[in-house]
Amino acid sequence: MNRIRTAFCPQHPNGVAISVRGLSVEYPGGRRALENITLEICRGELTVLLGRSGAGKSTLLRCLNLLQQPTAGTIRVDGFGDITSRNRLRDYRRQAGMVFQLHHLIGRQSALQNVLMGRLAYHSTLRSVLPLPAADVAIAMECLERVGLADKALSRVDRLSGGERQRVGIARALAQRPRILFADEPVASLDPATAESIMELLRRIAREDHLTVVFSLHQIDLACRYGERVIGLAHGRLVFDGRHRHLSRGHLEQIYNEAACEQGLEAALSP
Amino acid sequence: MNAGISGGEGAAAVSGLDSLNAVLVARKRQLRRGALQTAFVLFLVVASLGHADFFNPQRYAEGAHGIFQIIVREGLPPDFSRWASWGRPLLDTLAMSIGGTALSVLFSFLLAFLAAGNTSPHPVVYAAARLFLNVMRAIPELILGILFLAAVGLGILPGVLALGFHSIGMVGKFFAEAIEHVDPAPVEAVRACGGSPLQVLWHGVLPQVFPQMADVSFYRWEYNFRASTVMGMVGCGGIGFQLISSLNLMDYRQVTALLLLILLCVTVVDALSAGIRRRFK
Repeated sequence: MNRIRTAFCPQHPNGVAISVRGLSVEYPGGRRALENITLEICRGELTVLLGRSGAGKSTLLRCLNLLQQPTAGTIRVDGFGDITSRNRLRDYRRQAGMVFQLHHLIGRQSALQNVLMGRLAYHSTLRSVLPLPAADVAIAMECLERVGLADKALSRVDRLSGGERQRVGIARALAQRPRILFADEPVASLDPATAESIMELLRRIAREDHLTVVFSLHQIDLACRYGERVIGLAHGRLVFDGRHRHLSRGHLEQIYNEAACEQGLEAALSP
Repeated sequence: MNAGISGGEGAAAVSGLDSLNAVLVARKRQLRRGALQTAFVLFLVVASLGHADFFNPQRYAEGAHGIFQIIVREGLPPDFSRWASWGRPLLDTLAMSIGGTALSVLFSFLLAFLAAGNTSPHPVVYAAARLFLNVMRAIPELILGILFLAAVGLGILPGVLALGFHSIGMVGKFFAEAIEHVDPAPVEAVRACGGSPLQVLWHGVLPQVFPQMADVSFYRWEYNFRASTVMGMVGCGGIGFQLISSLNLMDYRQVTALLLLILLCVTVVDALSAGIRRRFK
C-alpha cells in the first residue's frame, strides 16, 4: 500500500489557506466525482492537482472556488470561515482568481473588456451597468502589460491566438487582485512551447504576488517541475499528497494506468 | 485479392467487410426513410392546393380578365396628384413601426430572461413567460389593432400598441432562444470572479446575445413597417388608411400610386435595416 501523505501544512511556515474535510461530490445520476477528500492548501505555495481526465481534478477545483456544491464535507477558507451568505461568497470569489482550460472569454469583446470582467465584483450591480471608471481600466491595462499583451488591448479576443487568449484569461484573474489563483488545466489545449511559456508566466506572477496557487494538470513532467506540492487523484480519491520527489512508481501507477506511467516516469524522474 | 494476406489480417478484413455491410444496410434504411418523408411532404402540398381549388383552370380564365381590367385599364397610369397630403400619413406609419418595435423590444428583453431555460428563476415563471409569448404570437395584429382601437380611440396609438404586443410574441421567443444558446463558459467565468447574479446576466450573457438581439430587432422593424401599412386599413391611421380610402372610392390609379410609394418606403427601410444589421455582426 502506498501511504497517503497528509497533515502537510502544520510544518509549513505560512499556515493554511483552504482546509477541506471529508469532501464528496456525487453528480445527478449517481456518478461519484470525489470521495472523502481531506486536505489542506498552504498559503503561498504552488500546489498541483495531478490526475487523468475524469479523476476529479476539475470538480475539486470548482469546489475550492465554491462553484460546485459538495454532496458532503466542508470547505473552510482562512479569513472567511464557513461561507454561508451570498455576500461572503462574492467576497471570497473576488479574491480567488480562476484561469480556465478554454479561457472562458467572450470572443466578440476586446481583450480589455474581458479583463475588466475581473473588476466587476468591486462594484455594485447597478454601478457595473455603466462603463467602469478609469481607475479600473488602469488596473486592467497594468494586468495586460504583465502578461505582455498591452498592445492587443483593443483587439477582439476571437482574433487572438490560443496562447494569447490564455494570457488574457490570466490577466482577467489578475485584475481581481487575487490572493488565491486557481487554474484548471491552463495549458491542456496549447502546444508544448506555448504551454511552457504560460506555466512560466503563472509561476513568475505567483512568486511576485505571493499568491496561493492551485493548478490542475495531467502532465507529470509539468507537475513535477512547477508544483511545490503535488496532490494525486485517481477515480475521485486522494492517492498522493506531498513533495513531487516523494512520488513513487507505485503512486504514478495508481494515478495513471500502467502504459502511460512507463513513459511518464522516465521524463518525470530523470534529473 | 492480395495473396500475401496472413491469417490475422484476413480476420480483420472479414470484420471490416461485416462493418461495411452494416453501414450499407443502415444507409439503405436511411435513404428509404428520406424518400418516404419527401413523398409525404409532396402529398401534403398537392392535397392543400387541391383543397383550395388551385388546379381549376376555369377560375383563372375568369379571374385573369378581372385583374387585367383593374390593373391596366383602371390602375394605370398612377395618379400622384394628392402627393402633398401623403407626407403626414407616411410619417405616422413610420412612427407607428418604430414605436411598436421599440415597445416590443423593451418588453421582450425583460421577458426573454424569464422565458429562457438557463436564466429563468423558476420553472413556473418559465412556463408562464412562454405561454404569454405564445398567446401574443397567436393573436393576429389586426385583431389586437381593433381591440386597442376600441380601448384608446383613433390615431396611431392603437397601432403602436397592437404592433408592440403582437411583436413580443416573436421577438421575445427569438431573444429567449438566443439566451439559451449562449456559451456557458464566459458566464461561469463571471460567477467565478464574484459577479452578482445580475452582473452575470449583464456581463456574461448579454454581450454574447447582443448581436442576435440587434439583428432580430431590426428585422422586426422591417416587418412592422410593412404591417403598419395594413394597420391603417382597420382605422389606425397612416398611409394604410389612405390606401383603404382610395380602394373604397375605387380610385385605382391613386391605389397604384400609393402602392408604388409604399414599395419605395419598404425598400428604403429594408436597405437601412440591412445596413445596420451588418454592422452588429
